[in-house]
Amino acid sequence: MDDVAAIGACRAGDRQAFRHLVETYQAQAIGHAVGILGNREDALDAVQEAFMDAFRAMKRFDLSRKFYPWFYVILRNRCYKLTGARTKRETESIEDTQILEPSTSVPREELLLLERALLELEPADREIITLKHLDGLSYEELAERLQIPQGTVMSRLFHARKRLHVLMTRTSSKTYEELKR
Amino acid sequence: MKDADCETVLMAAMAVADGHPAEIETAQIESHLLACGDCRSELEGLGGLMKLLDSRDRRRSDEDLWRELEPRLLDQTPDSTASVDFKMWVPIGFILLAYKLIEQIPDRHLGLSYRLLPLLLVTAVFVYLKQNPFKINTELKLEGESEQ
Repeated sequence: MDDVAAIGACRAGDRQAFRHLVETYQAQAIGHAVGILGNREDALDAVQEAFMDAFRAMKRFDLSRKFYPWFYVILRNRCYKLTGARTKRETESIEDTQILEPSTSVPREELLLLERALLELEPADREIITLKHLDGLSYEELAERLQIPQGTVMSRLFHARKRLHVLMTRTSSKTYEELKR
Repeated sequence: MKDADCETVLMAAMAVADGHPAEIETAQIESHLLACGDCRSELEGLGGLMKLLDSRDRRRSDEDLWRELEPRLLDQTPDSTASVDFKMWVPIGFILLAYKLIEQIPDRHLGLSYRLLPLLLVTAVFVYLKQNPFKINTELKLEGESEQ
């Protein structure tokens, strides 16, 4: 079953057809939600609620468009609603907050520094950086996903990268100081 | 030396590196970078970070949300748009109406506490909603404002 057929069946009230969409996009959606929220538990809540919203709004979906970019707008709304409402969790394991896939090709310390700096970013900065670098979206695609003009993409991306760079430098010098002690 | 020119040049240089047309000419970027050591080193630092990020992938997820979603979908139909729950406003509306009616009775002096009732009611609503619409968010940042 392809997306268009699944959406058509959903509109006719077939809930099982929605399963195709959930199973196709849940992993991608969870990754994106973690990229915004910086927390796995919150991300799972946001993705579930976004799928519920999408199911209810299915009749308003334009069949000439792709499903995921439309769903992404719903998902990010859910994520930002959650960032306003939630309080910082007291205990967060690395597993809970990990955005990047573990790798052996990069030193573990370097990866940890990057993870830590990413988590310290504001959600909007983290979102644009991860979409650009981890998903490889073009400026045009970023503009569509974030619903902003391409000029704004350029400026937001630049400032987000600068802030990440500052955080990386700060975090690495902090770690260096800790090692010296 | 961090003036607007440096920022414009750096932004344009990063856009070009991303394969996006810059708002200023490439020759202008190059000549600025030749003359400005600060921009060169900042661009180098940013470039290294971008390279590191580009080589990474998102952490893969294997959670199955369908099991939790399926029972929740049973009472849902597509386009049953989320409606505002007006029920919670009914008691408040009723109290305000009663207040107004009592206030209309001539030659009644019910004291200060009675006068403060609407204020208390509004405060109670804000507490219930856990929001203060008059609160000024001091953490808002202007577009492009750098974090110092």
